Amino acid sequence: MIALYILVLLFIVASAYSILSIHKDLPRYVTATKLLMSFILIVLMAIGYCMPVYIAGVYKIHIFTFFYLIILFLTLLTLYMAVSQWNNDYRSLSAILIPLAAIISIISLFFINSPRHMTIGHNSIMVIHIVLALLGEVLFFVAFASSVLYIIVSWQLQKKSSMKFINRFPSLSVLSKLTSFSLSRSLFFFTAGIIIGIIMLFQFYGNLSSGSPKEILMYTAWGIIFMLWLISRWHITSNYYLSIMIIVSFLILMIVFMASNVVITSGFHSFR
Amino acid sequence: MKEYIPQIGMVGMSHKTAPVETRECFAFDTQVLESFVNNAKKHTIQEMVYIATCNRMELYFVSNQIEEATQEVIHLLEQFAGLQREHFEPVLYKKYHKDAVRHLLCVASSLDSMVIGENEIVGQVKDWYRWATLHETTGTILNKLFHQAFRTAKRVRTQTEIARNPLSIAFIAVELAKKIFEDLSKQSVLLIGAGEMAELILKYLTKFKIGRVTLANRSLHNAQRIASEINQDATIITLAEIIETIPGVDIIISSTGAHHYVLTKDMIQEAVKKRSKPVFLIDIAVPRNIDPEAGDIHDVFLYNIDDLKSIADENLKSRLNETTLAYEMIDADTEEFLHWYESLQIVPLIAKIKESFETIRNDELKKYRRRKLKHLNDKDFAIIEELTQQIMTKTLHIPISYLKELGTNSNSKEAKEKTKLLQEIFKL
Repeated sequence: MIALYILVLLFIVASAYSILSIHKDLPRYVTATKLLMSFILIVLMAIGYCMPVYIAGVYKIHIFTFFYLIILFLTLLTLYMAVSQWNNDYRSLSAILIPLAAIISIISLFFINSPRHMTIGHNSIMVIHIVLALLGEVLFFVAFASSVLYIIVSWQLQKKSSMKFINRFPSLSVLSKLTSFSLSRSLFFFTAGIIIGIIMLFQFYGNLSSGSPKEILMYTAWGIIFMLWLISRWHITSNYYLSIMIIVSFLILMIVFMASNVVITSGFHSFR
Repeated sequence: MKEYIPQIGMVGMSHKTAPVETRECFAFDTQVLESFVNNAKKHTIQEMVYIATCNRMELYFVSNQIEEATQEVIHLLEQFAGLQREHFEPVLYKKYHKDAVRHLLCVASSLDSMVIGENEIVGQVKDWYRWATLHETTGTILNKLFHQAFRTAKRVRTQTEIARNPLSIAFIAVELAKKIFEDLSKQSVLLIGAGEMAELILKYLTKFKIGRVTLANRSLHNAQRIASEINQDATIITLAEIIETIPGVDIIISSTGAHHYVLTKDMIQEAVKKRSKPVFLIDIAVPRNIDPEAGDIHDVFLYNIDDLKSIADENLKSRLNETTLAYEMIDADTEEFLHWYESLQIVPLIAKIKESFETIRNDELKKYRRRKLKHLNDKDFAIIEELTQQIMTKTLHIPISYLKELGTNSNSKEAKEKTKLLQEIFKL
């Protein structure tokens, strides 16, 4: 419990530093953000180690675990960015991704002691399905972050803002590449997650669909991401409008996705 | 203690003190400079570095008699520039010790330049320093000083924003293009009309290996001239062909003498519909060639000459704001250098102590070799020599370390007293 409060506090501080790194344009804030994120990962690992998932020979995922996994993947992703080809753009991307992770960590506090859980059974195929779906979701977070940055840079360039400010952000071309990159990866993981889900359903229940509200939502999310990927792939509209579409889609999907996991208590693989 | 260590001095003139007619007399070619340096070596000057750029001429030197050396340098300048002393001495500045060190650090960091934050100066200072080292006119002090200056310049350039934001209109246009497209080699540019500034922007873009160049001009001759000047393959089109061309280009530079909009909002809107990438429009013309309302279209970035100028002004302001931080770095580095420089004052004393111990050791060894150790062969005696050397080195290690520590603050009263005491003890 204390570890969770520490985690939320660390996320709030890291968010403040990530925003300050853009606002003040000082490298020490970027270093502080990276250090804090590394520390957050350690705390997350410790929480994960203490969190029961395999109880009495059965995989059980509590509703808190669902939030935990999103936060964990977002943390891993921001840390990966710091050491990957996206390192130059880490500062601006982290200023969006870390506050998002902070918000989710705050929401998760309300479910720490919730008994609601999803029983997965004896096999680990469901775990793979969940991990793939969440990876797809987290990569969609990146597409959202790069789209928000695209809009910001685009506005700043149209407003003829000072170069001192514009230089703190990646170029429009880099942002549009990152959007396409994260969209395609998000689609890949979502697709893989869905295929594994179908196989699992067929294997254990003999059906290709359970018809649960969460499953319908998953297909809808996949459809939206597929549509966005197609628009990006075939350059159907300008990058500006694509960015707006991604932002709107992300917000709708996230609200519905979070709400469906919290509100829906019946049906296949819901948190009961 | 002061008499042990040579002092640093400099004389020079810059755009701030002397007109170009005076400065140009002191821009020596290398042959003249070689002769100048050879003459300087004959006098009291121990180390010397000459720096000449279009904005300055400066001479840094090291001497035990710094005032005499300054007069010698001025005399040599008079001799080699062919100007009478009274004609240039009023515009000449002379700086010594801390002021000279700080001045060089400011020059190398381009804080004393005409355009603050320009990048060329450090390269020029490096070239002149290299020339001086090749001609063996530098020594311990100037070598250390110039390396410190290069380090400080790098620190100022990387840790402040002094050199980050460009000041030239053409360069700002290129920087903006990079902010939109990142890799310019995959982009295409269309130049409509001709004009000094527009051509300059095009030249900068070709320097960054812009992908494809199209020139639209009323006069074929003009277009061909620009194509040959940019040294890159270019497609030449007529003004009437612009409409079909614009959907395929990423950067449009317009600079025609037309009194109407060459590119209207509708034309740009139509072009944008046919592409997914953004488009960068640079309108250098007065009166303007591109409808300003075109700048309201999403993914269209329109900059006119006033927009670019206001960015240049803002960048200049930001550079000037950064000078405070840069001066703080320079002051800190000046102190660091002077700290090292002060420690040099103890070096001759250490050398004298070592010399005195070495003399005692050698004398005693010789005495013993003649009498008590005469039965030893050369090999065995060499071992005894090595042993005494080791004993001496180890015995002196702690006092010498203490002296070096003392040297870092050799101007303090305590250090002076202790040094004096040591000199008395060892009768140095």
